[in-house]
This record gives sequence, structure tokens and C-alpha cells, in this order.
Amino acid sequence: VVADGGKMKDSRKLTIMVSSTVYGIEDLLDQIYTHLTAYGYEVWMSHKGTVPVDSSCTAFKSCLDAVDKCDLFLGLITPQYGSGKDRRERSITHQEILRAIKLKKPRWILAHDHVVFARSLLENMGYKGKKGRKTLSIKKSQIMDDLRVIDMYEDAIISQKPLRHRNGNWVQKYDKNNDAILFTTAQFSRFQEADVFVQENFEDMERVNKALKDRGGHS
Amino acid sequence: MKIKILKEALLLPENQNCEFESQCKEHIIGEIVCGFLNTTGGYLVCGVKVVNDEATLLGVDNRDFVAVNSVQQALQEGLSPKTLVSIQDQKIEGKTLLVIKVPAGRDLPYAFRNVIYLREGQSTYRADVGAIREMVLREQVEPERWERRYSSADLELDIDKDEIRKAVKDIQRLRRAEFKDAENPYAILEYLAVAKYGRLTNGGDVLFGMNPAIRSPQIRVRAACFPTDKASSTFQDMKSFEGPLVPILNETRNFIIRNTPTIAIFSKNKLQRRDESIYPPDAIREGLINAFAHRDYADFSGGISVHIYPRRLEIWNSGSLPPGITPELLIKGHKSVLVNPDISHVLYLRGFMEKLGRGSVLIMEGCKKLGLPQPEWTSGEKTGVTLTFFAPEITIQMPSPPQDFTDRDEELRELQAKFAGSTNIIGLRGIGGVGKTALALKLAESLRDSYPDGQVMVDMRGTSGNPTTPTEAMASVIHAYHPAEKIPEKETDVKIMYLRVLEDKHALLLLDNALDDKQVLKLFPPKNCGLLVTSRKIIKLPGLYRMDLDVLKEAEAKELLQKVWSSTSASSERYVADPTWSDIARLCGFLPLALRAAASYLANSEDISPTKYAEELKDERTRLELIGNEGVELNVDASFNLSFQRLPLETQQIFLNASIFPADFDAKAEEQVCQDEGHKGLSELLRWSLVDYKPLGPDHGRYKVHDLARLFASARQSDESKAIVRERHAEYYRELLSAANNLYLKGRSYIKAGLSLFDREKANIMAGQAWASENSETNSSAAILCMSYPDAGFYVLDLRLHPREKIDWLETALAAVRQIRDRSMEGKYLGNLGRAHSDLGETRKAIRYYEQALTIDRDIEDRRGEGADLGNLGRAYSDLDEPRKAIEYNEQALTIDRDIEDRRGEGADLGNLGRAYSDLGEPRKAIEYNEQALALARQIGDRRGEGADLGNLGRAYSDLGETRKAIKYYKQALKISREIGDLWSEGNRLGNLGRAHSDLGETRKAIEYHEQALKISREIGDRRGEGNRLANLGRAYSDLGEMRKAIKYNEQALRISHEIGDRRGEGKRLHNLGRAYSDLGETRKAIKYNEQALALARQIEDRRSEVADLGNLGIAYRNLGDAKMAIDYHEQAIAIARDIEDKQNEGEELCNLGKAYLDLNETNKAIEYCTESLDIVHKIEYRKIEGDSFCTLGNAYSNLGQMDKAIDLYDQALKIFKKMEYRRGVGEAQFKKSQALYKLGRRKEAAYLANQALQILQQVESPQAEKVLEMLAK
Repeated sequence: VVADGGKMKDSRKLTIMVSSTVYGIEDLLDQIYTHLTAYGYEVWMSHKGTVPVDSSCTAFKSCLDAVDKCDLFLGLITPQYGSGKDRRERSITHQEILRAIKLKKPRWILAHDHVVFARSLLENMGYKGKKGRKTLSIKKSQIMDDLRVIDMYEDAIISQKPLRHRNGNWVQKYDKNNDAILFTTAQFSRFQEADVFVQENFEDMERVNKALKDRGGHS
Repeated sequence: MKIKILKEALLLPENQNCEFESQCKEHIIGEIVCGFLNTTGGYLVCGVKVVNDEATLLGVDNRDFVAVNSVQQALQEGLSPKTLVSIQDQKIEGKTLLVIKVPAGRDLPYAFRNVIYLREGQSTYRADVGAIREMVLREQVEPERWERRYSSADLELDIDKDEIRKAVKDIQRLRRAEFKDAENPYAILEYLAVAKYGRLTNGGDVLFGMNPAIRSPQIRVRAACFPTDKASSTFQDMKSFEGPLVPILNETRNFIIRNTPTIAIFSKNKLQRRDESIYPPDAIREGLINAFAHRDYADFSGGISVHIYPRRLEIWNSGSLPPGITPELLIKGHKSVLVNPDISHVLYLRGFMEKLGRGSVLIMEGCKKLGLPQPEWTSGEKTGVTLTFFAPEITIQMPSPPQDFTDRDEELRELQAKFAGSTNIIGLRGIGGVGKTALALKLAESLRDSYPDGQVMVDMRGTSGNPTTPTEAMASVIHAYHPAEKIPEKETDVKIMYLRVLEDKHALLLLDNALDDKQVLKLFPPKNCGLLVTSRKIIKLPGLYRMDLDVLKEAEAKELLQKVWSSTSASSERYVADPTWSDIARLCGFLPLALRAAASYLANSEDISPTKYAEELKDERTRLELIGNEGVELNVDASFNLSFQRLPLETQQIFLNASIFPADFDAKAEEQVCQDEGHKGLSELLRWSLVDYKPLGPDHGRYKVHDLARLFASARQSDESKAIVRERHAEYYRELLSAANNLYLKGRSYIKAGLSLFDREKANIMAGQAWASENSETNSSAAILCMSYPDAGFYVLDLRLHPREKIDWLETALAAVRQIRDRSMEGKYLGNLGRAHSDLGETRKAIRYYEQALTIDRDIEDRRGEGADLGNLGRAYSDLDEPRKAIEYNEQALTIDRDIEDRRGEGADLGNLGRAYSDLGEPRKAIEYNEQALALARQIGDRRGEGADLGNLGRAYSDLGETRKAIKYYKQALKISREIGDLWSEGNRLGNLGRAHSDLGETRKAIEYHEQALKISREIGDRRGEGNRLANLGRAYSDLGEMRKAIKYNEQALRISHEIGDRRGEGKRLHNLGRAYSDLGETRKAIKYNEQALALARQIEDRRSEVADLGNLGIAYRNLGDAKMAIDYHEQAIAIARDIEDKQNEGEELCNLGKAYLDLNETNKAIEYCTESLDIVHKIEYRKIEGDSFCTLGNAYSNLGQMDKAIDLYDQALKIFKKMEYRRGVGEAQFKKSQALYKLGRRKEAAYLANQALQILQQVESPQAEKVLEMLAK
């Protein structure tokens, strides 16, 4: 006897695009998917195969299109950079995040501790910024496979702009899955509750951002 | 089927969430499982339809485990996060049911196929947002588990890829998961949730780290195997395992299996058996997995340890049981709570953790199946969790040995050694109450490890009227193992069953109080079993090692007394003098039963002190009663009675009779004394251990009735019948004494045989004589026996009885002969009494007896007796140094003996006369008499006499300084002694020879002779001889200048003289000691000894010794520089010597006097005395002193500066000494002469002579040699 305990009140669901590399965090993605679905969102996640796909274009294009179309954006920056069309091109995840920033999508970004730590470590060693790191190369490993994850992180926190111009640069550091789940729950279970609130402010990114900022986190 | 019954059949714990599903639909299962995970865990059974309380078994489609696998995979894939859920199929009534066990989850919330479910009661529902948020927040509060934290292990370098491959293989084989990339170790670790973001978790490290113990030492597993059940520091095997979890799990398991024996299991229905491990291997595995999965890994001091003891196995892990789980719940089965879900999950996937929450139940069942005792779990916050397996309970139907069992250490060790060797059948035989059963129980207790399959004691009731039959005994053994087994009727069938029960069983049987061989023979167990038999009777079985248990040794007996007494005594008195315990122990015959009873009695009688008790026990008539029956099941009397009552009447009587033997005895004696033809009765008593037997060879040995058994019997026999038996006893041993004496007289090896016969039977002989003596006044046969005893053993008794004992015997015999007025015997015994007193140095008393004897013999005109008496008197006066009187008596004796033509007596008289003339310093006359005696002896063929005469001649020539001639005679005498096998005289001759060689300066040779003589004296137990030899050895060592050795020998000799009452000897030893100390320069001590010797000599009127002692004192004072005092002593000595016409000593003392005056520089006086000395000694041809006097005179003239004269005198001395071959004298004289030559300036000659002197003195090892060296150095 299975009862349906958590139905959405509204038939129209918000879509949330979850953008990340998949490798190594399948379980976390599963959980995030579970939670977001439970909180009433329509979750677009390539790991789950829920990203709307246009059969006439490439998978890359479909993904970037999904960023365009989604209501909300949740990005995960892990130590794995992921792949692009070729070795030198930005990975699809990186592109998705840049696109979400560009489009000023209401966005939430989780960055793994390795990435945050590596950035500050390298900065302290004198390798500041993308240029600073240019001379460095990293041996591919499970700890981190590409220094461009730091680029991606810096893009997410909009580090190239002066602090006062940094809007929507909310990036939550996480270490364990639990941290990510807590963040997800904290952010999105409330959104579901304040469905109307979101609706009302949907056009006004600044307000959404502001509202998010009030709830904690750092940038 | 009722749900309750189904639950029981599935071994599901009660009061646990349990859901039944008729169908096996994956999504429904997944939702319910997810609901359980998010709540408290539970069980889901598929294939059952439940309506109300009734369950209908439908079963699931289980072809090729399709159901299990598909559900398995659906859950593995559908559940997020991945976690452990166990799925099993179980067959109930032919239907396959799926049992899914879900522990309460540790990583909430769980989702199945992306939906989070919850359960409440019997329903499952989707969690709403509020519930989810609550779960997430609750999860945040929980501290992160150790297994989940990142390990410092390097993912590249530190992981065991091989182990990962094995894991994959395991998981794939069980189809519990599908890997997208089975070749990528990291992906696998991530999939198994033990690695993330390039880091290995601690859980991953434990499972797959190459050596996680480097980082977390608590991971090591320690395993040890101990030889005993007590925790000890010594172990047989000890290992520490480290590495990835599964390999160390396997190694630990192998260690356990290797160190626990396999045992044979007896199957009940058919008499079959099979070998299995002592502990069920599955249970061991389960126990270990529990330890690995549920232990607390976080604590650095934690760990897992396995201890294997002979009788148990302990698996310990740190941490405690999960909250809500108690040891009681473990036994019943319980909900599963995972302490380390990640580790557990991997173990599950690999097939190591199948039975969630039921491991403990399975362990219990496994043990139960093997008949093991219920295993035990103990748990405590700090003490960790211990699972103890117990070895099959030993069937111990054997009581423990008594608490205060006193160590029969030696026996126990011997028996244990036997068991350790090839023997496994032991028979303990002994008298009732000697402690056979106690020892057997003690032994059994110590052998528990060797006989792990049990110890069974069967009371064979050997001393009862109806002994246990073999069938009964076998039945009780069978029932010890299989209480319900029906015992077949036929004995042969019982035997078959009995043997099968014990087949390959390592059991120890104790057949207690067995009747005989027959009873035991049928109970022979298979080889692998041990058999202990205790019996009062002799049990002879093939392969049986028999130990005849004797009573305790004194020390052990005392210990037992003290132990029992102090453990029960109410008395505040805690100290009891040791001799008291010795007394009590002895009076209890060292019999454990008696000791125990006595100690208990004493402990419970506050008003009786041990000392008083010991005193009371001395009364034989009441002793058994007084020992009583406190603290023992059976008192001593009753214990003996058990055996006694089993005897036929006739044998009972023989036992009573045999009890009059005060000591051990042989069969022949018993046959006569107890009138037991062919000693059949005795053999029967032996079989009952009522008498003890010590074999001394084939068919002969010694029997003994235990002291308390003797009292037991004594109380049951009337005085009249006792008297009859005792008379036979006294008679028998009188005859035996006589036989011993005759053997002795036969000479050669018979001497020893006779003496050892006496020694063996001394206690009986003494008792026989004592009885005769006690009853001589009232019982005429006793009186006759009493009279005949001393005479029967004359020669043997002479050597063996102390003169005082002899006197006792003779006095009672004398009283008896006086009673019957046998004057002839009276005279004889008076004479013998005289000789006994003479041996004691009581010469005056001896003379009085001789005179009485003489009166009687004259009265009854017993001429032969008269002659003997006169001869004795002559000897006595010789001893008193009245040689003239001695000669007078001896001549009278000679006249009579010649008159009655007693040639033997005549010879003795002549010998005595010779001695007397020797004493008078008339060696030529002495020789004359001795030669007459010798001729006579040869004439009548008296070899013994011939030997004696040759010896006397030797002594006379020795006195003349004709040592070589003396030696010749001694050798002849020795030859005769040997020829007639007269060991006693052989010893004396050897002694004489030794002394002669001493005179020749051949001290080493002398010592050789003395040692031979000593050996003989000791062999025949001739104490007087032994003392003399020791004294001779002392003299010889004194000649060698080894004064300490000399003193040692003389002290030994002194002790013996003292012991045997030889006061004359005692005086001589004291004299020797004085001399030795004098030579050592310890003059004060020397004087002390000499004064003692002098006092003694005066007391016993040994005047010759008095002279010698005075002379010694003189020398001692001279050594002290007190020449005046010396002169005084020497003058006293000379006076006495003159009085007793002791020319030898007179001459010697005059010479000494001369030396003393020389010290005072009264040279003329010195010359005067030395000249006088020379006159005397020259006349009596006392060569040694003659030489000495010449020397002293030489010294005197040298003092006067008349060197030529001095040299002349030295030359005379040298001439004498050379003729005598008295080398010591030669050396000393040469030294003096060389000094004189030196003074004359004839240095070359002096040096030459001094060198010669040195050579000789060194050869005779004289201390003087050093002085020569000093001179030569100048």
C-alpha cells in the first residue's frame, strides 16, 4: 500500500537544470535528483537523461539549449573537468555555467572543496588567475583532472569583475554529499514552499538574487 | 499457518517490523525496503499471503534464483544511497519464500528509484518535504562515521588491486551488482562508496588498503592459542594479522581451525561416528564476521583478538553492542543495526554477510547441533564485545580430588610421565585409606586436557559383598555419554556398544575400588582411552603400569596433618611444634586416612592440644579409637574391616597372626609363625593389600603389615592366642639368629650373608628376644628362649649389638638361668657380661663378672670354664696395664688348658702371654710365646688361631723395629684371613699392614691399606674396626702433614667410639687429635684435647694411654716454649711407665725429657736422660726411639760444639733408621748431620747431604722438607 504523500500543489512545475560532470558523483546526483523531484521541480539532469533533447542537434547544443530554457540553474563544480568537443575547448559543464551566468539565470552553484582549496593554494604560491596558472599542468588524477576546474570556479564567482559588480556569484563549497544535500534541501525545499513568491519575482533576477543572498551563503 | 509459527520457521525475531507480500514485485519491494531503511528497519517476506493472523504460503518463482537476483539488482540499482539489504530464499513446506532483511539505515534519507519512502505501521508512503527536510537535518547532527572519513591512504599506491579484483569477482558471481567499468579500480571503489573525489575512506582502507594497519594500527587482529584454560603468558601459537579485511578474516579463521582439534562425534541412533571440527566452522565464520563488521574501528586502542584455549574459543572486538541490542536479544535474534554500514555493505555484496540480525542465532544453532554448550556474548562500554564458544562439555562424572590433597608429587609426576609416554593404563594398588582414589582423582584432574571427551568414574565396589558386574560398569559408562541409551541384555552386546561409545573417544575411565583382574579385564577400553584402576588387590592386566601406593613420606604426612588441621581448627593456637606433628604422623602410620581423621579430630577438640594428643596416641590399645572418624567417610578401623570382612575365616586368622610381626618378614617365617602352609593365606592378604610386599628377587621378598592394620588386628585377637603366636615367633627367630651365627662362622662370603641375615631380621629377632625376656618369669618356654638368645648369636651379636644391648640380653638370660639354676650357663653368661663391660672400657666391672664366673666354674668344677675365666682376667689386667698380674692369670689359664688338653684354649693363653710380655717391653719373650702359640695352632689345624698368632708376631717384630719382618707376618696372617673368609680379621690385618708401611715412611701405601680395611669394616658393619681404620688414616695423613684431613678422620673415629661406647678408643682419638693440633701449631687446642684424653684414660684406668697423653702434653708445652712444664709432664709419664713396666714409653719419655732439657740449654742433663733412654730402648730393641735418642744426643753434642761426636751420633741414628727403613727418620737425621757438617765448614758435604735429606723428606712428604730448603737457600 503505497500512499502518495508529497504531491505538488500546482500543476505547472518549475524546471531546474542540474549541470555537472557525472563521473564520480553519480550517487550524489541521484540524491539531488531525488530531493529536487520531491520538492516539486522538474529536474533536467543529463545523468538521469531528463534533459530535453532535440534530435536534430548535438548533445552539446541540447544541453546549452536546456540552460536557456530552464527556470533555475544548479551547477556542480567537481574536481573532474569533463569533456568538450576537443581537448582544448571548454567542457560542456563549463560552457553551461558560463551560459547560465551570461543569461543571468537564477542559479546556485556547488563547488567541491578540492577546487576551492586548489585555487587558494595556487594563489598563495603565486599562480594567480588563469594567466598565472597558464604555465602549470596537472597530472590527471581522481583528485583533480584539469586545472580548468579552477577557471570554471573563478568564472562562477565572477572573479574577473570587481567585487561590487559581482552579482549572482553565489557558490557553495561542499565536501561530502551530505553538505550538498543540505544545501539543496535548504535552498529548494523553501522555494517549493514559497511557490508564489518565486512566481512573483520570476522576471526580476535582482530580487531573486537578493532574496537568496539574505538566506546565507557567501560569494 | 499462523504467522507466529511462520516467523519461527523463518527464524525471524518477534516484535520486529515484518511485512508479508504475496507477490514479488520489484517496485513494491523497493518501496517497502526504502521505507524500512528510512525508519527502523524490518523484514519483508515475499510469497506469503496474510489474512488476519493466518499465512498462506504461495512461494515465488525461483527458477535459477531469478527472483532473488532480480530483486537483488533492483534494490542495488534502485536504492540511493546504496546500502546493505540482504535477500535470501528459504524453503518452507516446499515453497520458496523470499526473505529480505533491512537494517535501519545510517545515511538518511534513502530513496528507491528517486522517491523517498517512509513506513508507519503496515503502510509505506512517500515522504513529504517536511519529513525529508527533517531527515536531512537530523543527519547533519550525526557525527561522521569513522569508516566514512577520508583515509590518508594514497589511492594509487596504497590499495590492494588484487583484493579489489577478488571483490569484483565475488560480487559478480553472486550477481549482486553490475559494474559499468569492472576494470577500473577507482570506479569500483566509488561504486562501493568507499572512495570519493580521489580519496579513499577509512572503510575503503580497511577493506582494500594494502596494509591499513600502518595508518590505523587498531585494524590488526591478534590471535593466540594457549595450552591451558587459564589465562597464561605462555601460548602455543601467536599471530598478528594485518592486511585487507577479507584476507585477515580468512587467516584468522584458518588460525582458529588450525588450532582447534577436530573431534569424533558420536551419532546417537546408530553407533557411528564422524570427525568434525570441535566448533562449527560456519559459526566461527559468523562470529568473526560480526566482529569485523560491528567492531568499533575509531578507537585506536581497539581491535579484534582471538584467544583459543583447550576448552573454549574467545572472539573479542572493541566497541559495544549497538544501542538496544543486548546479549539476551542476540540469543533470540534481533533487528539488525549496522555499526559500519559501508564495510558491511561490501561484505554483504561479497557474500560474507548473508544473515543480517541472525548471525548470532545461527551461531547458537550451529553449536547446539554439535552438542556444544550455548555460546556466550558479553558486552560492556569499555570491555568490548566477547563471543565465547565452549568446547563440548566434558562428561565429567568424577568428583574433584580433596581440597587438601597433599602432594604425592613424585607419584603424580611419575604417573603423568607414564601417560605422556605410551602407557595409558594405570593401576593403583594399596592398603585401604592410603589415598588411591584421591591420587587417581588428582591425576584425572590433571589429565583433563589429554582426555577432552570426558572422564567417567565407576565404583567397582571391590570391597563390598556384591561387586559391580562388568555389564553394570559398562552400562554406567554408556549412560554417561548417552543417558537415554537402552542397554542390551546380552553382555557381548553391551560390550560392543561400550566399545563403540568409546571408539576414538579420548576419555578417561576410573574404575575405583576394583575387585580383581577379571572384573577389570572386560572393561578394557579402546586404545585412545585412558584407564585408571584403583584396587586393594593386585591387578594384572596387559599393558597396565602398576603403582603400589605406599603410605606418605613423613614430610608429606606432616603437611597433610597441618593442612587439614589448620583449615578446620577452631583453636586459636596456630603454631604446633614440628616434632609433635612428626609424632602424630608416625603414630598414624603415615596413612592418609588416619592422618586426615586425626587432624580433624584434633581440630574439633579444642581442649586437647596436639602435644597431648600425640601422647595419648602412643597407647596402642586405644590408638585406632583415638584417631576416630572425623572428617572422613570411613574411619581407619572400618576401612580395614571392609577388606577384612571379605576374607575367609581361615585367612582372617592368618591376618591376625601375621599382625604380631613387628616389622617386615618373609614368607618362610610367616608359614611357620602363622602356620600358613605354602603361605597361601599370606598371598591372599597381599591380594587385598592388607599386607605390603616388596619383591627382592624371583619368588622372594618381604611382607609387611601396616602399623595401623597391625593395631586393627591386634584388637581382634585374644591375649592367649597372641601368646601362642608370639612364642612361635620368638622361637623361629631364635633359630634364625643361630643360623645367622653359623653362617658367620663358616667364613668367607658366608660372613656377610650371616650378618645381612641378621640385619634384615634384626627387628624380628629383637622382638622375639624381648618377648622371651618379658615373659621369662611366668612362662617357662619363654625363659628357655630368653636364655638361649645370647648364645645363639654370639659372634654376630658381638658385631651387631651395642654392648649395652648385649648386657641387657645377658642380664635377662642370666636371671633366667639362675631361675633354673643352670650354673654352667650362669658362669658362661657372667663371663660374657664381663666381656661386654670390658668393651665399654669398664674393666673393673668386667673383672668382677669374671671373678664371679670363676667362682662358679670352680664350684662346679668346670675346668674349661675356669680356664676361660682366668684368660679373661688376664686380658682384663692387661687392659689395666698390669702385665705381671696378666701374666699370672694367663699362666694359670695355660696350666688348666694344658691339663684338660684344651689345645685351642692353650693357644689363646700363649697368645695372651705374648701380648703381656710385649707390654712389659720384652719383645723377644713375646715372640717366643707367639711362636709357641703359632706352632700349636698349626698342629691342631686352627687356622683362625694361626692367623691371630701370625698377627701377634708381626706386632712383636714391629716393636723390635723389624718392620719388614712384621710385614711378612702380617701378610701371612692376611692370607689366612682371606682363606677362611674371616672378614673381620682381614680388616685388622690390613690395618696392621698399613701401620707397618707408615713406619717405613710409605704413607701412600699405608693409606691404601687403611682404605681397604675401612671398606671391609664398613661392609660388615664393624663399627669398632671402622673407628680404628679412620684413626689410622688420620695418623697417616698427619704423617703427610695434611693435618686438617687428619683431624677430620680422627673426629669421625671419635664419633664412632662415642657411639659404640668404646671409651678406650675414644681416649686414643682424643690423643690423636691433640697431636694433630699440636702439629698444626694450635697448641692450646692440642692441650685441651690431650687433657680430655688424659682425664678419660685416668677414668678407665688406661694407664698406658695416660703415659702417652702426659707425654703429648709435655711436647705441647715444649712447643709453647714452656720447657719446665714439659719436663713436669714427661716426668709424670716416666713415673707411670715405670710403674706399669712400660719400657717402650719409659724410653720414649726419657728421650722427650732429654729434648726438654736441651731446650733449657741444660745440655748435660739432656745427655744424661738421652743416654738413659738409649740404655732402655736398646735393651728392648725399640729401634725407633733408639734412633731418636741418638739424634737428640747428637743435637746435644752439637750444642756443646763437639761436632765430630755429634756427627758420629747422627751416623748411628742413620744406621738404625736405614735398617728399619724408617725414611722419615733417615731424612731428619741427615738434615741434622748436614747442619753439623756445615758448622764444621764442610760445606760441600753438607750441601750434598742436605740434598739427599731433601729428596727423602719430599718423598715421604714430610713438612720438614721446607726447613731443609730454607737451609739450602742459605
